[in-house]
Amino acid sequence: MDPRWLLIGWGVLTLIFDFMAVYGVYTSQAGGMVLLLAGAVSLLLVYLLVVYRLDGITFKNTLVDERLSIISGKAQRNSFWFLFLSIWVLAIISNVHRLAPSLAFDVVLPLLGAGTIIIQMLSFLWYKYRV
Amino acid sequence: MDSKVNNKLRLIRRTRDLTQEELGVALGVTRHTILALENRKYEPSIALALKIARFFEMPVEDIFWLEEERQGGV
Repeated sequence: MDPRWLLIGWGVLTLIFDFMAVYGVYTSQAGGMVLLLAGAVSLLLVYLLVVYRLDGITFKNTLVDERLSIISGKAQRNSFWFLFLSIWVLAIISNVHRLAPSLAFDVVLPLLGAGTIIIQMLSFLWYKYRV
Repeated sequence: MDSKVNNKLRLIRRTRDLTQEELGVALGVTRHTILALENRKYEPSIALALKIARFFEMPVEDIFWLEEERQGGV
């Protein structure tokens, strides 16, 4: 299948979602989180378009490319190191300084998750395009 | 880090008048992987090396070799 159809389909879905998000916020039926998600899916679309521009028709081999599978594994390893170390640091800080009750875990844990994902994405891009 | 496996993929590809994209399509990999191979930033798996050799109808060792071999080490 021509990967352009995948991009067109993804683009249409993104536009629909973005429109619904803006409309939802405008009519006060949705919160700011929906706008963040709309931004994220739009960024993903831009990334896919850039990859398509760089890889051309071979874009369709992205999911079966052996090098990308290896890179994906390396990126995952980096992000897990961050996660493990962060959890350990958090555990030590909260025990040594007795901060556990005052730490805002509802903020810290999502930040850890977001950091893990961001490191994984950046590592993947670094390994992929450092040629 | 550069690969210890050297290759003359770029030379062979250009001799056959192929683009990186065309070779990527034929081998089932992305254009960037061809680029990484040609720049010695990636060592292919045995399966991919054999695929490349079969595609160009050449022995694998005519395309890929260990760096030390051509320096007279082996």
